[in-house]
Amino acid sequence: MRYGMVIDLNRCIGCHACSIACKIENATPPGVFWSWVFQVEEGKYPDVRRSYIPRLCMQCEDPACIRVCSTKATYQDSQGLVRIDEQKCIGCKACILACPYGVRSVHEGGKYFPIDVPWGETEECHQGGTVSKCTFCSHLMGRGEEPACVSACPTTARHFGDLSDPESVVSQLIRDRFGFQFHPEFGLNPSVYYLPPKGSALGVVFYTLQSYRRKE
Amino acid sequence: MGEQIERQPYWRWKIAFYLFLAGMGAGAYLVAILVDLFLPEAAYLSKNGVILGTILVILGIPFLIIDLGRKERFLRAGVNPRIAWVGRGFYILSVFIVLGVIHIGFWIWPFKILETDRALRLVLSVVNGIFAFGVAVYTGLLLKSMKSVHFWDTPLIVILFVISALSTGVISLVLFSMSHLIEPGGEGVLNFLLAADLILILIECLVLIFYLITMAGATEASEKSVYSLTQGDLKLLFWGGVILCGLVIPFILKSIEVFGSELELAGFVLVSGVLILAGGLLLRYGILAAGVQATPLLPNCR
Repeated sequence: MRYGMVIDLNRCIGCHACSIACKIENATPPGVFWSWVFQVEEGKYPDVRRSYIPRLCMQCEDPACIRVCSTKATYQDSQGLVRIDEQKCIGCKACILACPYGVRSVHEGGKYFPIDVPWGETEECHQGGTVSKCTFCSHLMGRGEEPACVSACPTTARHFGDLSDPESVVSQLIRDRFGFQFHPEFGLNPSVYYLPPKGSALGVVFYTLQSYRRKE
Repeated sequence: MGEQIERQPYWRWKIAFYLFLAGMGAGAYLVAILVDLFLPEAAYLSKNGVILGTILVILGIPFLIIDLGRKERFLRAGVNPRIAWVGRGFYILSVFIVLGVIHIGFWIWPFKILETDRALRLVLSVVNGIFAFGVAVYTGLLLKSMKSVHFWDTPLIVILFVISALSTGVISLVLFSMSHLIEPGGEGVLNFLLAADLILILIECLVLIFYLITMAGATEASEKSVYSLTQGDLKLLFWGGVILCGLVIPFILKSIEVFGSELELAGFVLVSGVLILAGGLLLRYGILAAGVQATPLLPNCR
Protein backbone atom coordinates (compact mmCIF):
# COMPACT_ATOMS: atom_id res chain seq x y z
CA MET A 1 0.00 0.00 0.00
CA ARG A 2 1.43 3.34 -1.01
CA TYR A 3 -0.93 6.26 -1.32
CA GLY A 4 -0.16 8.70 -4.08
CA MET A 5 -1.59 11.66 -5.94
CA VAL A 6 -1.58 12.59 -9.60
CA ILE A 7 -2.05 16.23 -10.60
CA ASP A 8 -2.93 17.03 -14.21
CA LEU A 9 -1.15 20.28 -15.05
CA ASN A 10 -3.33 20.65 -18.16
CA ARG A 11 -6.47 20.85 -16.12
CA CYS A 12 -5.33 23.07 -13.28
CA ILE A 13 -6.73 26.60 -13.69
CA GLY A 14 -5.12 28.04 -10.57
CA CYS A 15 -8.40 28.68 -8.74
CA HIS A 16 -7.03 27.76 -5.28
CA ALA A 17 -10.11 25.68 -4.42
CA CYS A 18 -7.64 23.03 -3.15
CA SER A 19 -5.82 25.55 -0.95
CA ILE A 20 -9.08 26.67 0.66
CA ALA A 21 -10.54 23.17 0.94
CA CYS A 22 -7.35 22.09 2.71
CA LYS A 23 -7.56 25.03 5.08
CA ILE A 24 -11.18 24.25 5.96
CA GLU A 25 -10.70 20.50 6.29
CA ASN A 26 -7.53 20.65 8.36
CA ALA A 27 -8.26 23.92 10.17
CA THR A 28 -4.67 25.04 9.74
CA PRO A 29 -3.64 28.15 11.71
CA PRO A 30 -3.41 31.58 10.05
CA GLY A 31 -0.50 31.86 7.64
CA VAL A 32 -0.10 28.09 7.28
CA PHE A 33 -0.92 26.50 3.94
CA TRP A 34 -0.42 22.79 3.52
CA SER A 35 -1.66 23.00 -0.05
CA TRP A 36 -0.82 25.87 -2.39
CA VAL A 37 -0.85 26.75 -6.09
CA PHE A 38 2.19 28.55 -7.43
CA GLN A 39 1.78 30.77 -10.48
CA VAL A 40 4.84 31.09 -12.67
CA GLU A 41 5.24 33.24 -15.76
CA GLU A 42 7.64 31.90 -18.32
CA GLY A 43 9.16 33.12 -21.55
CA LYS A 44 9.52 36.57 -23.07
CA TYR A 45 6.91 38.72 -24.78
CA PRO A 46 5.19 37.81 -27.09
CA ASP A 47 5.88 34.16 -26.30
CA VAL A 48 4.71 34.08 -22.70
CA ARG A 49 2.83 31.47 -20.78
CA ARG A 50 1.57 31.24 -17.24
CA SER A 51 1.84 27.92 -15.45
CA TYR A 52 -0.01 26.80 -12.36
CA ILE A 53 1.80 24.33 -10.18
CA PRO A 54 -0.25 22.92 -7.30
CA ARG A 55 2.05 21.92 -4.47
CA LEU A 56 1.69 19.90 -1.30
CA CYS A 57 3.83 17.53 0.72
CA MET A 58 5.29 15.06 -1.75
CA GLN A 59 5.04 12.20 0.79
CA CYS A 60 8.45 10.97 -0.32
CA GLU A 61 9.31 7.32 -0.02
CA ASP A 62 12.78 8.27 1.25
CA PRO A 63 12.10 11.60 2.97
CA ALA A 64 14.85 14.14 3.73
CA CYS A 65 12.88 15.39 6.73
CA ILE A 66 13.00 12.07 8.58
CA ARG A 67 16.79 11.98 8.28
CA VAL A 68 17.20 15.19 10.29
CA CYS A 69 14.40 14.70 12.82
CA SER A 70 16.11 14.18 16.18
CA THR A 71 12.88 13.43 18.07
CA LYS A 72 11.25 10.80 15.81
CA ALA A 73 8.26 13.16 15.66
CA THR A 74 8.40 12.80 11.88
CA TYR A 75 7.78 9.21 10.89
CA GLN A 76 6.47 7.11 8.04
CA ASP A 77 3.30 5.14 8.66
CA SER A 78 2.38 1.74 7.23
CA GLN A 79 0.72 3.36 4.20
CA GLY A 80 3.87 5.18 3.20
CA LEU A 81 2.67 8.55 4.47
CA VAL A 82 5.09 10.94 6.14
CA ARG A 83 3.43 12.09 9.34
CA ILE A 84 4.32 14.41 12.22
CA ASP A 85 3.45 13.58 15.81
CA GLU A 86 2.79 17.04 17.24
CA GLN A 87 3.11 15.68 20.76
CA LYS A 88 6.75 14.81 20.09
CA CYS A 89 7.93 17.72 17.92
CA ILE A 90 10.23 20.15 19.75
CA GLY A 91 10.19 22.75 16.97
CA CYS A 92 13.92 22.72 16.15
CA LYS A 93 13.04 23.52 12.52
CA ALA A 94 15.75 21.27 11.07
CA CYS A 95 13.19 19.48 8.88
CA ILE A 96 12.07 22.79 7.34
CA LEU A 97 15.68 23.47 6.35
CA ALA A 98 16.16 19.93 5.04
CA CYS A 99 13.04 19.58 2.86
CA PRO A 100 13.97 20.56 -0.72
CA TYR A 101 10.30 21.00 -1.64
CA GLY A 102 9.66 23.65 1.02
CA VAL A 103 6.35 22.19 2.19
CA ARG A 104 6.87 22.40 5.92
CA SER A 105 6.08 25.34 8.16
CA VAL A 106 6.31 26.16 11.82
CA HIS A 107 3.39 27.98 13.41
CA GLU A 108 2.57 29.61 16.70
CA GLY A 109 -0.84 27.96 16.80
CA GLY A 110 -2.92 31.15 16.37
CA LYS A 111 -6.60 31.01 15.60
CA TYR A 112 -8.82 32.90 13.18
CA PHE A 113 -11.54 33.67 15.70
CA PRO A 114 -11.20 35.19 19.17
CA ILE A 115 -13.65 32.66 20.61
CA ASP A 116 -13.41 28.89 20.35
CA VAL A 117 -15.43 27.94 17.31
CA PRO A 118 -15.78 24.20 16.85
CA TRP A 119 -14.13 23.70 13.52
CA GLY A 120 -12.92 20.52 11.96
CA GLU A 121 -11.80 17.38 13.70
CA THR A 122 -8.07 18.08 13.43
CA GLU A 123 -7.94 21.60 14.86
CA GLU A 124 -6.96 20.54 18.36
CA CYS A 125 -3.87 18.87 16.88
CA HIS A 126 -2.23 22.16 15.89
CA GLN A 127 0.09 22.73 18.80
CA GLY A 128 1.89 26.05 18.85
CA GLY A 129 5.64 25.93 18.22
CA THR A 130 5.56 22.71 16.26
CA VAL A 131 6.14 21.99 12.58
CA SER A 132 3.24 20.90 10.39
CA LYS A 133 2.54 19.84 6.83
CA CYS A 134 0.04 18.05 4.59
CA THR A 135 -1.09 14.60 5.79
CA PHE A 136 -2.93 13.55 2.61
CA CYS A 137 -6.01 14.02 4.87
CA SER A 138 -5.21 10.74 6.57
CA HIS A 139 -8.20 11.21 8.93
CA LEU A 140 -10.51 11.01 5.89
CA MET A 141 -8.78 7.94 4.45
CA GLY A 142 -10.05 5.75 7.28
CA ARG A 143 -13.58 6.54 6.15
CA GLY A 144 -12.74 5.77 2.53
CA GLU A 145 -12.90 9.41 1.48
CA GLU A 146 -10.44 11.23 -0.76
CA PRO A 147 -8.29 14.12 0.49
CA ALA A 148 -10.13 17.45 0.64
CA CYS A 149 -8.09 19.01 -2.17
CA VAL A 150 -8.96 16.13 -4.51
CA SER A 151 -12.71 16.25 -3.93
CA ALA A 152 -12.75 20.06 -4.06
CA CYS A 153 -10.99 20.40 -7.43
CA PRO A 154 -13.59 21.74 -9.91
CA THR A 155 -11.63 20.59 -12.96
CA THR A 156 -10.79 17.10 -11.55
CA ALA A 157 -7.13 17.85 -12.00
CA ARG A 158 -6.29 15.77 -8.95
CA HIS A 159 -6.52 12.01 -8.63
CA PHE A 160 -5.82 9.95 -5.56
CA GLY A 161 -5.15 6.24 -5.11
CA ASP A 162 -2.75 3.40 -4.44
CA LEU A 163 0.52 3.64 -6.37
CA SER A 164 1.49 0.03 -5.59
CA ASP A 165 -1.64 -1.27 -7.36
CA PRO A 166 -0.89 -1.23 -11.13
CA GLU A 167 -4.62 -1.14 -11.94
CA SER A 168 -5.45 1.93 -9.85
CA VAL A 169 -6.43 5.16 -11.60
CA VAL A 170 -3.26 6.89 -10.47
CA SER A 171 -0.98 4.11 -11.70
CA GLN A 172 -2.76 4.02 -15.06
CA LEU A 173 -2.55 7.80 -15.46
CA ILE A 174 1.16 7.82 -14.64
CA ARG A 175 1.77 4.98 -17.11
CA ASP A 176 -0.40 6.23 -19.98
CA ARG A 177 0.21 9.93 -19.79
CA PHE A 178 3.90 10.24 -18.95
CA GLY A 179 3.36 11.08 -15.30
CA PHE A 180 6.51 12.47 -13.72
CA GLN A 181 7.73 13.33 -10.26
CA PHE A 182 8.63 16.87 -9.21
CA HIS A 183 12.41 17.07 -9.41
CA PRO A 184 13.19 13.35 -9.07
CA GLU A 185 16.91 14.26 -9.06
CA PHE A 186 16.62 15.03 -5.33
CA GLY A 187 16.47 11.24 -4.99
CA LEU A 188 13.58 11.18 -2.49
CA ASN A 189 11.03 9.33 -4.68
CA PRO A 190 7.91 11.50 -4.11
CA SER A 191 4.44 9.94 -4.12
CA VAL A 192 2.96 12.97 -5.90
CA TYR A 193 3.08 12.75 -9.69
CA TYR A 194 2.28 15.40 -12.29
CA LEU A 195 0.89 14.95 -15.79
CA PRO A 196 2.79 17.12 -18.27
CA PRO A 197 1.09 20.20 -19.74
CA LYS A 198 0.71 20.59 -23.49
CA GLY A 199 3.52 23.08 -23.83
CA SER A 200 6.15 20.84 -22.27
CA ALA A 201 8.37 18.43 -24.17
CA LEU A 202 6.68 15.39 -22.62
CA GLY A 203 3.27 16.95 -23.28
CA VAL A 204 4.11 17.52 -26.95
CA VAL A 205 5.07 13.84 -27.30
CA PHE A 206 1.88 12.70 -25.55
CA TYR A 207 -0.54 14.91 -27.50
CA THR A 208 1.11 14.16 -30.85
CA LEU A 209 0.79 10.44 -30.15
CA GLN A 210 -2.83 10.93 -29.08
CA SER A 211 -3.85 12.85 -32.22
CA TYR A 212 -1.98 10.28 -34.33
CA ARG A 213 -3.97 7.47 -32.68
CA ARG A 214 -7.27 9.34 -33.30
CA LYS A 215 -6.51 9.68 -37.02
CA GLU A 216 -6.09 5.95 -37.25
CA MET B 1 13.54 31.90 -12.59
CA GLY B 2 11.86 28.65 -11.79
CA GLU B 3 13.00 28.71 -8.22
CA GLN B 4 11.68 30.28 -5.09
CA ILE B 5 14.76 31.75 -3.47
CA GLU B 6 14.42 33.10 0.04
CA ARG B 7 16.82 33.54 2.92
CA GLN B 8 15.90 31.11 5.66
CA PRO B 9 14.32 32.92 8.65
CA TYR B 10 14.41 29.96 11.03
CA TRP B 11 17.92 29.83 12.45
CA ARG B 12 19.33 33.27 13.26
CA TRP B 13 20.94 34.99 16.30
CA LYS B 14 20.09 32.35 18.87
CA ILE B 15 21.60 29.54 16.83
CA ALA B 16 24.55 31.80 15.91
CA PHE B 17 25.29 32.32 19.62
CA TYR B 18 24.89 28.58 20.25
CA LEU B 19 27.28 27.58 17.45
CA PHE B 20 29.72 30.33 18.44
CA LEU B 21 29.83 29.44 22.15
CA ALA B 22 29.99 25.68 21.50
CA GLY B 23 32.78 26.13 18.94
CA MET B 24 34.75 28.55 21.12
CA GLY B 25 34.40 26.30 24.18
CA ALA B 26 35.56 23.26 22.25
CA GLY B 27 38.49 25.27 20.85
CA ALA B 28 39.54 26.54 24.30
CA TYR B 29 39.37 23.02 25.71
CA LEU B 30 41.43 21.58 22.84
CA VAL B 31 44.09 24.26 23.32
CA ALA B 32 44.10 23.55 27.06
CA ILE B 33 44.80 19.84 26.64
CA LEU B 34 47.48 20.57 23.99
CA VAL B 35 49.15 22.88 26.49
CA ASP B 36 48.86 20.18 29.17
CA LEU B 37 50.42 17.62 26.81
CA PHE B 38 53.30 19.64 25.43
CA LEU B 39 53.79 22.55 27.83
CA PRO B 40 53.13 21.10 31.31
CA GLU B 41 54.93 23.95 33.07
CA ALA B 42 52.07 26.31 32.09
CA ALA B 43 49.58 24.37 34.19
CA TYR B 44 47.55 27.49 35.05
CA LEU B 45 46.82 27.85 31.34
CA SER B 46 45.51 24.33 30.83
CA LYS B 47 43.47 24.54 34.04
CA ASN B 48 41.93 27.82 32.89
CA GLY B 49 41.21 26.32 29.48
CA VAL B 50 39.46 23.25 30.87
CA ILE B 51 37.26 25.45 33.06
CA LEU B 52 36.61 28.00 30.33
CA GLY B 53 35.89 25.43 27.61
CA THR B 54 33.39 23.48 29.69
CA ILE B 55 31.62 26.62 30.88
CA LEU B 56 31.36 28.12 27.37
CA VAL B 57 29.78 24.95 25.95
CA ILE B 58 27.33 24.86 28.87
CA LEU B 59 26.50 28.54 28.26
CA GLY B 60 25.68 27.80 24.62
CA ILE B 61 22.94 25.28 25.38
CA PRO B 62 20.32 27.77 26.66
CA PHE B 63 20.56 29.55 23.30
CA LEU B 64 19.61 26.33 21.50
CA ILE B 65 16.74 25.69 23.89
CA ILE B 66 15.21 29.17 23.58
CA ASP B 67 15.22 28.72 19.79
CA LEU B 68 12.97 25.65 20.03
CA GLY B 69 9.26 25.97 19.37
CA ARG B 70 8.45 23.76 22.37
CA LYS B 71 11.21 24.55 24.86
CA GLU B 72 9.89 22.27 27.61
CA ARG B 73 10.44 19.21 25.40
CA PHE B 74 14.15 19.86 24.72
CA LEU B 75 15.21 16.50 26.20
CA ARG B 76 13.44 14.80 23.29
CA ALA B 77 16.27 16.10 21.05
CA GLY B 78 18.22 13.02 22.11
CA VAL B 79 15.68 10.47 20.90
CA ASN B 80 17.10 9.85 17.43
CA PRO B 81 20.89 10.25 17.43
CA ARG B 82 21.33 7.45 14.92
CA ILE B 83 20.77 9.66 11.86
CA ALA B 84 19.90 13.21 12.91
CA TRP B 85 22.68 15.69 13.66
CA VAL B 86 20.61 17.62 16.21
CA GLY B 87 20.36 14.34 18.15
CA ARG B 88 24.01 13.41 17.65
CA GLY B 89 25.02 16.86 18.88
CA PHE B 90 22.86 16.36 21.97
CA TYR B 91 25.01 13.38 22.96
CA ILE B 92 28.36 14.81 21.85
CA LEU B 93 27.73 17.94 23.94
CA SER B 94 26.37 15.94 26.89
CA VAL B 95 29.39 13.62 27.04
CA PHE B 96 31.78 16.55 26.60
CA ILE B 97 30.17 18.49 29.44
CA VAL B 98 30.04 15.49 31.80
CA LEU B 99 33.70 14.60 31.14
CA GLY B 100 34.63 18.29 31.35
CA VAL B 101 32.98 18.60 34.76
CA ILE B 102 34.75 15.40 35.90
CA HIS B 103 38.01 16.87 34.59
CA ILE B 104 37.46 20.05 36.62
CA GLY B 105 36.13 18.20 39.67
CA PHE B 106 39.05 15.82 40.01
CA TRP B 107 41.85 18.13 38.93
CA ILE B 108 41.09 21.64 40.10
CA TRP B 109 38.23 21.71 42.57
CA PRO B 110 37.08 20.11 44.91
CA PHE B 111 39.34 17.05 44.46
CA LYS B 112 42.94 17.09 43.26
CA ILE B 113 43.47 13.44 42.40
CA LEU B 114 44.46 14.17 38.79
CA GLU B 115 47.03 16.74 39.91
CA THR B 116 49.38 13.98 41.03
CA ASP B 117 48.28 11.24 38.62
CA ARG B 118 49.34 12.83 35.34
CA ALA B 119 48.86 9.68 33.24
CA LEU B 120 45.21 9.35 34.22
CA ARG B 121 44.69 13.05 33.58
CA LEU B 122 46.14 12.78 30.10
CA VAL B 123 43.93 9.79 29.29
CA LEU B 124 40.87 11.78 30.33
CA SER B 125 42.16 14.81 28.40
CA VAL B 126 42.64 12.87 25.20
CA VAL B 127 39.26 11.11 25.44
CA ASN B 128 37.42 14.35 26.10
CA GLY B 129 39.61 16.08 23.53
CA ILE B 130 38.05 13.79 20.93
CA PHE B 131 34.62 14.92 22.11
CA ALA B 132 35.72 18.57 22.10
CA PHE B 133 36.82 18.13 18.50
CA GLY B 134 33.47 16.43 17.90
CA VAL B 135 31.65 19.49 19.23
CA ALA B 136 33.57 21.78 16.87
CA VAL B 137 32.97 19.47 13.88
CA TYR B 138 29.32 19.04 14.82
CA THR B 139 28.63 22.80 14.61
CA GLY B 140 29.57 22.60 10.94
CA LEU B 141 27.98 19.24 10.16
CA LEU B 142 24.68 20.39 11.66
CA LEU B 143 24.44 23.06 8.98
CA LYS B 144 25.86 20.81 6.28
CA SER B 145 23.03 18.29 6.80
CA MET B 146 20.35 20.90 5.89
CA LYS B 147 20.11 20.03 2.24
CA SER B 148 17.71 22.72 1.05
CA VAL B 149 20.29 25.39 1.88
CA HIS B 150 22.96 24.95 -0.78
CA PHE B 151 25.25 27.53 0.85
CA TRP B 152 25.80 25.17 3.79
CA ASP B 153 26.03 21.96 1.81
CA THR B 154 29.82 21.67 1.60
CA PRO B 155 32.57 20.14 3.77
CA LEU B 156 34.31 23.54 3.65
CA ILE B 157 31.81 24.90 6.19
CA VAL B 158 32.96 22.19 8.62
CA ILE B 159 36.63 23.12 8.11
CA LEU B 160 35.82 26.82 8.45
CA PHE B 161 33.90 26.31 11.69
CA VAL B 162 36.61 24.08 13.19
CA ILE B 163 39.34 26.62 12.43
CA SER B 164 37.20 29.46 13.71
CA ALA B 165 36.51 27.41 16.86
CA LEU B 166 40.26 27.04 17.41
CA SER B 167 41.10 30.69 16.75
CA THR B 168 38.31 31.96 19.03
CA GLY B 169 39.25 29.27 21.55
CA VAL B 170 42.90 30.38 21.70
CA ILE B 171 42.02 34.03 22.08
CA SER B 172 39.30 33.44 24.68
CA LEU B 173 41.82 31.45 26.69
CA VAL B 174 44.36 34.27 26.36
CA LEU B 175 41.80 36.82 27.55
CA PHE B 176 40.70 34.53 30.40
CA SER B 177 44.29 34.00 31.57
CA MET B 178 45.42 37.58 30.99
CA SER B 179 46.36 38.28 34.62
CA HIS B 180 48.74 35.30 34.58
CA LEU B 181 50.13 35.89 31.11
CA ILE B 182 51.23 39.49 31.57
CA GLU B 183 53.21 38.59 34.66
CA PRO B 184 56.96 38.11 34.20
CA GLY B 185 57.63 34.68 32.75
CA GLY B 186 54.31 34.45 30.98
CA GLU B 187 55.42 36.43 27.95
CA GLY B 188 56.95 33.46 26.16
CA VAL B 189 53.72 31.47 26.39
CA LEU B 190 51.66 34.52 25.49
CA ASN B 191 53.71 35.20 22.38
CA PHE B 192 53.50 31.55 21.40
CA LEU B 193 49.70 31.54 21.72
CA LEU B 194 49.42 34.82 19.81
CA ALA B 195 51.61 33.48 17.02
CA ALA B 196 49.49 30.33 16.85
CA ASP B 197 46.35 32.45 16.63
CA LEU B 198 47.97 34.55 13.91
CA ILE B 199 48.49 31.42 11.83
CA LEU B 200 44.96 30.19 12.54
CA ILE B 201 43.51 33.52 11.42
CA LEU B 202 45.55 33.36 8.24
CA ILE B 203 44.25 29.84 7.50
CA GLU B 204 40.71 30.95 8.38
CA CYS B 205 40.99 33.80 5.88
CA LEU B 206 42.12 31.43 3.13
CA VAL B 207 39.39 28.88 3.89
CA LEU B 208 36.75 31.63 3.95
CA ILE B 209 37.89 32.95 0.58
CA PHE B 210 37.97 29.45 -0.88
CA TYR B 211 34.53 28.72 0.60
CA LEU B 212 32.96 31.85 -0.88
CA ILE B 213 34.55 31.31 -4.30
CA THR B 214 33.36 27.69 -4.38
CA MET B 215 29.85 28.66 -3.33
CA ALA B 216 29.66 31.55 -5.80
CA GLY B 217 30.00 29.00 -8.57
CA ALA B 218 27.99 26.11 -7.13
CA THR B 219 24.27 26.77 -7.63
CA GLU B 220 21.97 29.73 -8.23
CA ALA B 221 20.90 29.68 -4.59
CA SER B 222 24.42 29.54 -3.14
CA GLU B 223 25.47 32.33 -5.50
CA LYS B 224 22.65 34.45 -4.04
CA SER B 225 23.99 33.63 -0.58
CA VAL B 226 27.49 34.81 -1.49
CA TYR B 227 26.01 37.90 -3.11
CA SER B 228 23.98 38.89 -0.06
CA LEU B 229 27.07 38.45 2.13
CA THR B 230 29.55 40.33 -0.03
CA GLN B 231 27.38 42.87 -1.85
CA GLY B 232 23.85 42.61 -0.51
CA ASP B 233 22.31 43.73 2.75
CA LEU B 234 24.78 41.72 4.85
CA LYS B 235 27.82 43.42 3.32
CA LEU B 236 28.38 45.80 6.25
CA LEU B 237 28.26 42.90 8.70
CA PHE B 238 30.52 40.80 6.50
CA TRP B 239 33.19 43.29 5.38
CA GLY B 240 33.06 45.45 8.50
CA GLY B 241 32.43 42.78 11.12
CA VAL B 242 33.80 39.46 9.92
CA ILE B 243 36.66 40.60 7.67
CA LEU B 244 37.83 43.94 9.10
CA CYS B 245 37.10 43.50 12.84
CA GLY B 246 37.40 39.73 13.01
CA LEU B 247 40.37 39.07 10.76
CA VAL B 248 42.26 42.08 9.36
CA ILE B 249 42.59 44.44 12.37
CA PRO B 250 43.49 41.60 14.80
CA PHE B 251 46.00 40.35 12.25
CA ILE B 252 47.68 43.76 12.05
CA LEU B 253 47.54 44.22 15.83
CA LYS B 254 48.96 40.76 16.40
CA SER B 255 51.76 41.25 13.94
CA ILE B 256 52.78 44.21 16.08
CA GLU B 257 52.34 42.14 19.26
CA VAL B 258 54.35 39.20 18.08
CA PHE B 259 57.16 40.98 16.36
CA GLY B 260 57.46 44.09 18.48
CA SER B 261 56.70 43.08 22.04
CA GLU B 262 57.97 46.32 23.58
CA LEU B 263 54.56 47.97 22.88
CA GLU B 264 51.75 48.12 25.42
CA LEU B 265 50.98 44.42 25.23
CA ALA B 266 47.91 43.95 27.39
CA GLY B 267 45.95 46.67 25.65
CA PHE B 268 46.70 45.28 22.21
CA VAL B 269 45.79 41.75 23.22
CA LEU B 270 42.56 42.93 24.81
CA VAL B 271 41.45 44.92 21.76
CA SER B 272 42.33 42.31 19.19
CA GLY B 273 40.90 39.53 21.37
CA VAL B 274 37.52 41.19 21.67
CA LEU B 275 37.52 41.91 17.93
CA ILE B 276 38.30 38.28 17.08
CA LEU B 277 35.48 37.05 19.31
CA ALA B 278 33.05 39.51 17.72
CA GLY B 279 34.23 38.39 14.29
CA GLY B 280 33.66 34.74 15.17
CA LEU B 281 30.10 35.44 16.27
CA LEU B 282 29.35 37.57 13.21
CA LEU B 283 30.80 34.86 10.94
CA ARG B 284 28.27 32.38 12.35
CA TYR B 285 25.43 34.84 12.07
CA GLY B 286 26.41 35.90 8.54
CA ILE B 287 26.53 32.32 7.30
CA LEU B 288 23.19 31.53 8.94
CA ALA B 289 21.46 34.69 7.71
CA ALA B 290 22.82 34.31 4.17
CA GLY B 291 21.54 30.73 3.97
CA VAL B 292 19.23 30.85 0.98
CA GLN B 293 16.60 28.15 0.87
CA ALA B 294 15.96 27.12 -2.71
CA THR B 295 12.69 25.41 -3.51
CA PRO B 296 11.96 24.77 -7.18
CA LEU B 297 8.71 26.19 -8.49
CA LEU B 298 8.63 24.50 -11.87
CA PRO B 299 9.05 20.85 -12.69
CA ASN B 300 11.93 20.07 -15.01
CA CYS B 301 9.91 18.33 -17.72
CA ARG B 302 10.16 21.14 -20.26
